Amino acid sequence: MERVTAADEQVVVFTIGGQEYALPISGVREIITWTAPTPVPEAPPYVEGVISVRGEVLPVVDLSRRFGLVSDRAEEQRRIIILEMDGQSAGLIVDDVVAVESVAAGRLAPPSPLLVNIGGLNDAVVDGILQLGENRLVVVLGPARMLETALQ
Amino acid sequence: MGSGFDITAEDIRVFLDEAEELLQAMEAGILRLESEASDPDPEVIQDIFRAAHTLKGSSATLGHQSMAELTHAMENVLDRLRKGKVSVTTPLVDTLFRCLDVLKIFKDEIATGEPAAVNTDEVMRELAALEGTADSAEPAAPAPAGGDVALPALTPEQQAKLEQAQARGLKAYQAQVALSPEAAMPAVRAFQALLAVADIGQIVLSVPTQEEVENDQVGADLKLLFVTGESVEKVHEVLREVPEIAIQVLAPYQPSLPAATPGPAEEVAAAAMAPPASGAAQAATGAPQPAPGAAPPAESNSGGPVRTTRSGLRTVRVDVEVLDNLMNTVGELVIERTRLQQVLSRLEVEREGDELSQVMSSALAQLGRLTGNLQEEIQRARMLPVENLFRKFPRMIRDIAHKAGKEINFIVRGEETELDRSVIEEIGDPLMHLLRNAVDHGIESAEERLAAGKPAAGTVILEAFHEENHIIISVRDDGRGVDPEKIRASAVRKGIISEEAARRLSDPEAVNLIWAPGFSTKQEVSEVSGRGVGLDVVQKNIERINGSVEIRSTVGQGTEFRVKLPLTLAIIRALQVELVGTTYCIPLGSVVETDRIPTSEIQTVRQREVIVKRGEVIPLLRLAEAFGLQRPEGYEEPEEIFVVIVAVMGRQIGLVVDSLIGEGDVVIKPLGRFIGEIPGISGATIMGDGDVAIILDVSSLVDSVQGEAGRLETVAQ
Repeated sequence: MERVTAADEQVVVFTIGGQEYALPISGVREIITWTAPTPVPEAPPYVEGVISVRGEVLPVVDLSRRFGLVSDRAEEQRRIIILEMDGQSAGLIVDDVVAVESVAAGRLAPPSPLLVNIGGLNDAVVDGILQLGENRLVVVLGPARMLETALQ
Repeated sequence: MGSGFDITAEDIRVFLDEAEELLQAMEAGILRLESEASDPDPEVIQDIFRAAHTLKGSSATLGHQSMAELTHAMENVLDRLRKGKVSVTTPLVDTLFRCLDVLKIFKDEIATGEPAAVNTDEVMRELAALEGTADSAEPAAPAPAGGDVALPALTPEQQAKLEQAQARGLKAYQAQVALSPEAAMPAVRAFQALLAVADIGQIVLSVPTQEEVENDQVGADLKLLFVTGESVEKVHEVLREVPEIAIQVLAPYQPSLPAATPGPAEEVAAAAMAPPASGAAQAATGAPQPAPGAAPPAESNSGGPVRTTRSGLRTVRVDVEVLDNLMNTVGELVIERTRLQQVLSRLEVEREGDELSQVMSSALAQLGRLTGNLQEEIQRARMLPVENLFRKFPRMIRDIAHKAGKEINFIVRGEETELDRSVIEEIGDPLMHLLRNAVDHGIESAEERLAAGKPAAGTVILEAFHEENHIIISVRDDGRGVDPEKIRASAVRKGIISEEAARRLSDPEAVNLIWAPGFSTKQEVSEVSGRGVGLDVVQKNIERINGSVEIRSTVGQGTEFRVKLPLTLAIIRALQVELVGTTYCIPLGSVVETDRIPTSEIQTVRQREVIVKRGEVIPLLRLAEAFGLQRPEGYEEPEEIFVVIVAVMGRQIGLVVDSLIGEGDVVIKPLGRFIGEIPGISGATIMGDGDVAIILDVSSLVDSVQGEAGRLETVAQ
């Protein structure tokens, strides 16, 4: 474990279709095990449906479909990251949650077009690229913009 | 009186809530006074008085002086009314109503924090005129100018202050001024007296203290110890400029006579102090220790207002949000219990007859009962009697009737009927409109009524009552009724419907044209109900909260509007149906019937599938297709379909579903900002097993099949 200093920010690292992504922990409310969403007719395209979390009804977004990725997990093994922004919450379906990593300030590189396109993403939803190890590059997502994009 | 107190937003909120209730209580009371003018009920007067008094206290606490002064002036008039010195007259009632209007403006002023620039002079003058005449007796005995004042013992600081001043050559005086019992605001007068003295000298101590005065805690008099370089005459002069006070004592201070051991002299002086001097007597005889801060509170003059004590109340104010949160929490509790139940059933299968599973089973049963109770109680806590809403109307009707020159006998029934708070909030405007409509359009002029053999005064009845799982609020008048012939003509003229179609309408159907947008039965929009809002808006607003409204009318006899409301907005009874493997809920309020229909009976009219039931053509809406749900491959349509016939405002459609599951209470939850509004869906609910089910919005589904035009078209066929 790396030591967390004041300047550090923590990110939740997760995978979709074998690719690693990260979200700033400040936007993550909780991570729950698979709960089958109830489909909502005529909802925006990437809304998989709604689930109930602690008495609340929350929409769930499937990013893999949005970005043309293919999930390699059975549904029951996937997880849902509950994001919270401005008091509104939504779930994000991911294959697996890998770790919570500390990011020292300055280690977050701005997204280069080349790297961004690896995961089929575009720079609208990417906050930056994070190098965690020798050959380990993680795409850091901006939760608010990502949800907006997903719901378009 | 400055507002140098710590007023929090919470204080203001509490004040506003309370003020609203008090104003409503006063309004109801004054209306009753007016109706029983010849023989007013002393209880009613007492109630209005008490409300005015409480409002005076709380507005003074908040530092709203004009409001406090006005309520005080009202109090005086009411006091005289109570004592039978004045009688209930039209000017008196009108003045009281005007006072209420001003108080409402003050209340809004406090709510918004923006000064409303109200001039109270006129209404104060009216009150003063009502109060005046008869016994304008001045406080009796002219005051003695000498003697001693019963002052409490000086604190070391006060003693030091006094000695320092004397060392500088200032003279110490003691004074006692009586506050006239007729004074509109004795506290203000006391405060003015304090200011006057402070202007020419320095106050060492006063009873009551300045702080108490600012808190409206004044008795019959004000006692002072002060130092000044001015002469006795000068002090006299400045005090005389303060109205409604009488100088009883003004003499050099005798430090040798500490009040801690009251001598006979003081008692005599106190007794001599007229008129009602109980406050002084109390201060004199009970003097041993009361520190200035602990002086006896206000209202010591006989016949004065009684401070309302709150200790007897057994209610608390709770933010609706708290109740909503509680409701959510209970919802979760229910879901968790269901999960435990599932664990239990597995245990029971795996370890049959096991003692542990038996214990768990009984504990779970108990838990279920408790959560059920809890849910019910919280729901009850959200209920309010409609009285809170209905109280607004009598005054409104009175004003509209006056304006329209009509005499209206307004009857309110069933005020105790309870409705969810959120429903009450939403239903006020629609009801107000229906009532205006009844007075303005429903009730005829007195001449017309007499000619028709009816009493000159029209009757409007507002009534609330339970009907099955609903609350009905009925607005009924004994006016001219709605004439279908006139409606037809009017609708044709306004281009709402063709003449041909109008002729085909049955009378009840024609009457229902009043709900069409842009319809108004009177040719000219009157000042009273013509506010640019039509009955169509009323209807929309009622439907928005899952309610419905219908009209029943007999020409020449009157009209009734019946508003049907759900008991609560948060919880509805719903029919659960299945569509492609998923559960959907249909609010039971709009379900007419469910039926199984062989596909062979489906007919097609103008490219739409319909069924015929009891001679009525009912268009079908296949929900799975309408929602674009994917059928699994190889799906074959069954030979019989399930149809849920729903109706909104008499318009029926049949919803085709895969199967019926059952019915139950569901808690409506919004889908949230991310998903937004989807036509045909009003929200979602969490089922007992934790799954989410979508709740259908029947009104928009019906609209999608039978738009306004479509409806008239079908009718006209």
